[in-house]
Amino acid sequence: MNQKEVLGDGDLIQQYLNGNEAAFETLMKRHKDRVFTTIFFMVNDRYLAEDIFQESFVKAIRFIQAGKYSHENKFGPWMSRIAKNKAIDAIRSRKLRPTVTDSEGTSIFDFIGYEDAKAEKDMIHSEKVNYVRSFIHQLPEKQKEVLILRHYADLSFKEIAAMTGANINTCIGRMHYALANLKKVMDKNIMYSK
Amino acid sequence: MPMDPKITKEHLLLFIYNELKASEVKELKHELKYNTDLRLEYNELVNTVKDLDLLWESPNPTTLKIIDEKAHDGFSEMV
Repeated sequence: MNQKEVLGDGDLIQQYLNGNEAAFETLMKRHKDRVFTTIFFMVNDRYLAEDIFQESFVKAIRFIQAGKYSHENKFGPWMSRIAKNKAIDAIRSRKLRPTVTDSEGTSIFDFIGYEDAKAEKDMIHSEKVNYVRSFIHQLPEKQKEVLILRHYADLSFKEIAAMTGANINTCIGRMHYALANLKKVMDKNIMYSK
Repeated sequence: MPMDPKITKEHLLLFIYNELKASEVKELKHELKYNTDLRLEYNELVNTVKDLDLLWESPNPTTLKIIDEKAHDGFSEMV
């Protein structure tokens, strides 16, 4: 068994700081899809997502190197928060129009760019993947927000509650409604496709 | 069989996302074993969550390589 696979994130960061260059690569590979998918959902543009992903990890590297990292094995949620903030900065600077807001009234998800035909062409997905993605974008905004932050960004319901300013039970309820709505539209779609 | 009033749909969700307290996990697992309605509800939720997993995306290998190089550059500066 590869020892790195069983090490916690905090251990990998410590190994990296102790001179093991491969430790950071292991850490990045462990979290790359989660962070990238969250960013991609937010900006809906693969090229922009690649840039934000890179900026986010470089920021994390600099933070760790400066000895400022103190989140033990909470690297994933910490990394997701950096990526989310970077994505919001990019959205603001490009004047995209999100439709979901957080507790401070900051818009987070769903943008005009989603309709961009070029971005659509850049994505290679199966028909079902496209269906599921479009269904998620059809969800009420608050439900979509919780679903993406919980499932893709791997933030706990408690962390989502703190981030959005909503009660934790409200967040859980929204997630439940999001899944129920998703199931409903998918069932409907299957019926239509018969 | 009706759902145990102590166990809600929200408990199922917390269980799926591994956020349920250990004591409640034991109780829920026991309930799932004998409560057909609850098990059906649980299976539906799990199947929907599995559909979400279809949408995972990966960054370009070049992006990963650039980040890795920056990590090593920074490391060289540190030591």
